[in-house]
Order: sequence, then C-alpha cells, then structure tokens
Amino acid sequence: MKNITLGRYIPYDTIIHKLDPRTKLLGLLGLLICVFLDVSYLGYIFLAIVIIFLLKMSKIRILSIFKSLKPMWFMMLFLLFFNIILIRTGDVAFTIFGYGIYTKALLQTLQIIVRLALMISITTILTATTKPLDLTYGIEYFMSPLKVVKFPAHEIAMTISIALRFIPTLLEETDKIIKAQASRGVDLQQGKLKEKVNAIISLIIPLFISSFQRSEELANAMEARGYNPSGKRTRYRIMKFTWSDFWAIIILTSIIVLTVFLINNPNLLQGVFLWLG
Amino acid sequence: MSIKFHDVFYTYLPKSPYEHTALKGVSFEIKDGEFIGIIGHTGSGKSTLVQHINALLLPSSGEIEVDNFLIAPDTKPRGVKNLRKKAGLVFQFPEYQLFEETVFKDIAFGPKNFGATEQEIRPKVEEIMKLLGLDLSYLDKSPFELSGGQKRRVAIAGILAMNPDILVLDEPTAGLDPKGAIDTLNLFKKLNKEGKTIVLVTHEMDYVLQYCDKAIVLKEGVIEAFDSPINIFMNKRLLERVGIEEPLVIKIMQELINSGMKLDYWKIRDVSSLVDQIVKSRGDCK
Repeated sequence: MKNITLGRYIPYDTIIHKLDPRTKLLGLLGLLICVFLDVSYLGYIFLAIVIIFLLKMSKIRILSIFKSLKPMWFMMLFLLFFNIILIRTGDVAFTIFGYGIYTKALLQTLQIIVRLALMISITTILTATTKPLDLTYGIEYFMSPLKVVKFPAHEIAMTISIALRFIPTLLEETDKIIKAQASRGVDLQQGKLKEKVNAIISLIIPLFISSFQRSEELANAMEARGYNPSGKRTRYRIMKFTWSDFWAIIILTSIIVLTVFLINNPNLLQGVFLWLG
Repeated sequence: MSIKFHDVFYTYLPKSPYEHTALKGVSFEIKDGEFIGIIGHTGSGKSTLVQHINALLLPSSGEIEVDNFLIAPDTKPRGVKNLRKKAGLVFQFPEYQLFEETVFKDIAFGPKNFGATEQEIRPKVEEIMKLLGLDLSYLDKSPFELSGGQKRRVAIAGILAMNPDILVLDEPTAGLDPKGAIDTLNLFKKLNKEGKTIVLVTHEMDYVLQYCDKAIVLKEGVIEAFDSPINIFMNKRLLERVGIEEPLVIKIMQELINSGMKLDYWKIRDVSSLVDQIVKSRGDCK
C-alpha cells in the first residue's frame, strides 16, 4: 500500500520543481490540449520528445510511468479489441479467421494508447514536481476571478488541500487495518468470493469510522482556532514569479504554437526531419 | 514456541527517495514461555520488528524462525495462516480494527477465520470476556457503543480468542487508565504462566521491570542490549546512550544503595519487593 507512485510528490530539487505552480498548471494544461488535438503522427513524435525531455528534467523514471499504467491494461485491451472490430475504414491490413483488420483501426488504437501515455506523463510531471499544497494555491489563484460571481474559490481550494493532505494518512490507515485484520486471519488475496467480500467489509468499515472521526476532530480543531472560511488570510509561502518561470512560459508557448502550426502544415516537420536525417 | 531472528534487515520503500532502513542486522532468540519486553525510542524499529514475527512484513535480508515456520525474504512462508493463528499480534490502538455488529461477532471473527465452529467459539468468547473483566451483557451490544477502554479490551479479546501460543503486544496499555493497564498486564502475566510466550512493546519502564524476564533495547534499528531488566536499568551508560530513563523504583533503590544500605537489587521488581528488601536489610542491621 505504501508503494503507490501514481500522482505522488517526489522531493527532488530540479528546475521544474522550483517553477511556480501557476506556470506548471498553465503550461502543462497547454501541452495536454496539444496531445488531444488531432496532430499527425509526426506531431506525436514531436510531443513525445518534448515530454520525455521534461520527464528527464524532473528526474521521473519513465519506467515508473509504465508501471503506473498497469491497472489500466484491461481497459486498453478492451479499447483495442472494440476499435479493431468496429472500425472498418481504410485498407485491410491483414485477416484473422476471415475477418479483415483495417489499417485505420490499428492506427486509431495506437493513437489512443499514445494519447493516454502522454496524458499520464504530463499529469505525473505536474504532481511529482509540485507539492499538493502549492498545487491548490495555484488552482485557487486561477479560480479567484470567479469570486466576483460569489464562487467559493477559497473554500474549494481548502477542501482540495485537506483531501490531498489526508491521502497519505488514509493509505497509512488502510495499511494498518489490513495488517490488523490479516493478524486475525483475513486474507485479501486468496479465498472464495464470499470470504473476499467479508475481508473487504472488515477493511472498509473501520476506514469509514476513522475517517468520520478524523473529519470531526479536524473540524473541531479548526473551529477552536477560529477558522472562518470567508476571512482574509495571509500565506506562509508566497508564490513568486521568477525569470525561469518567464522562460518556461516562453518555451512552452512556442512548443504549443509550433504544434498547432504543424497541424496546419504537416509537411514542415517532415521537411525538418528529412533535413536532419 | 521459540522465536529466532538471524541478521534481519528491513528497508521501507527501497530504491526511492523515501527509502528508510528500519532494522539493521537484528539477531536474537526468544525461548518458549518467556516474557520479553521491547524498549527503545519512537522510530527505533520496535513496531517493524514485531511485525516480522507473524510475517506481516518479510525481511529484506536475513531470516526468522518461529517454531517450524521459516520467514525469509520475498516469498510468503508456507502455511502463513497457521503461523498467524499461533502468533497473535495486538496492534497499537487496536480498537480501530473493530467492525462487526456485535461484540460477540467481533471477538469471534478471528477464530472463525481460522476455522472454528460457532459451538466452539461461544464458550471461548465468554471465558475470555470474563478474563478481561468485560460484562457478558456486552455480548450483543455494538462495539461502537462502548467506552475507549472497553473497546480496547474487546479488540485484545479478539486476538486472545484465537488462543495463540505467542502473544505479541504493541503498546497495549497506551491510553488506558492506570487500573485498567495493571489489570491487562496481570492478565498477560497469568497467560504467560500458563505457558504462552509474550512479547511486549512498551514505553513504560515500570512494566518492563515488573513483568518482563528479559528486555530487548533497540536504537535506530540495532539491538543495543538483550538482558534482564534489572541489568539494563542498572547500566547507566546504556540508558544514557539510548535515551531511556530508569523506573522510579530503581532510582530510589540506587539512592538507598549509595547511602550505604545493602540491598539484593536483583530481587527488586516493584514497590512491594523494594519495601521487602528494605525491611530485610534493616532486620540484618539489628
């Protein structure tokens, strides 16, 4: 349970870690949009290079991304299966049991998988290099204009940061309860369906009870210290926009612009690749 | 049942920035029927160590023998369920593990998982509730209606009902009132006299002196001493090094010895045995 890596902050000291959370939010959102635009396969190669470069810069092991994809294998196979069966345009690539498999189907499935991998890479870059609290400050910053229309930006940011703060605590708690119940003969991995259901009940009920207790205690502690959601407050850490943020935005913007440009002029990149090759 | 640790290392989250080695080459042997205390500062590896005894954690290297069971790195030992039946582990604040509708069902949960039938369980549960001083009228109550101390007892009862040969207790008295704490410890002593091996993790040095045959002193994942409590508490340098304070009884005894009284210090375990020794020593004087 302690080995969950997806979406976890990893404390290194790289340039990307030091960037302002607002820069990262904006920039990576831009990249995310690019990934979901209909760029040609050369466009994907270009984006993949950029993203792999960013992963290297933030010291995330690429292998760990593939590992975090593991729970999604089933969904991917499912997608692959239906795409291959249902898409019947393009040329027939080959036939299995007299059933034609079309090139378009293969390409489209490949595109979905590449998009998913890139999307997960981008979000991992964001969460692995930004402390959850900084991230919520960033989100609050971008939501604050909505305060004019009585949108509870601070309250939502507070809720998100509390939720994020308690994820590790809950994981620890889960680990502890699993062990306590294992000591009483519960086996979460093996056993018949009925035993498994019982095992899960013995885990979920204590978790619910302790979560409710915890939230009540937290609410009391906050009220005892005079927490007022609409009150004006200062921050311990002030977000600062630095020169590296400036350059990061310039670079990311040019990458995004380039990608959009490539969609309209697919021959350009081909030319570049030819020229390089 | 004996417990043997051979050069056990344990590392949390290896090869990550959070890597932390909690046990560094731990070796010792606990004989059948002993009452062992494990002491040391928070974070010294006490809880990690005891979780190896019923294979909740597997060592990163080294091995552990519990009776005929061999716990080695990577693979779960065969018959791990039988091991867990024989070596019962009570966690810190075990009241978190309660979940059933009634006290009876919760205490019976362990034995049921290990294959006991309803008819066998009922008398056993009632017997254990009496041992722990729980009123039988609680049987059909929800465990969540009980007070903190009673919940603790129900949770301990849940492990005792499995009738383990080894009982591992991680701070069983933390947060209990003094009377409740003494009652529970006396119960463990009674079980120990009936032949069960007891491993007690605690911060209360008075209990270690009073109840334990021997104690393991841990510091940063290394065993600093494995000796009788009186020898540990008489060793000033050791106590200073691991940051443990001796029980009040020992302090008084040392003052008395320093001021010239002759005491058989190895016989002193608590206030009453100290008083016995003082009376005896004064008798000798006359």
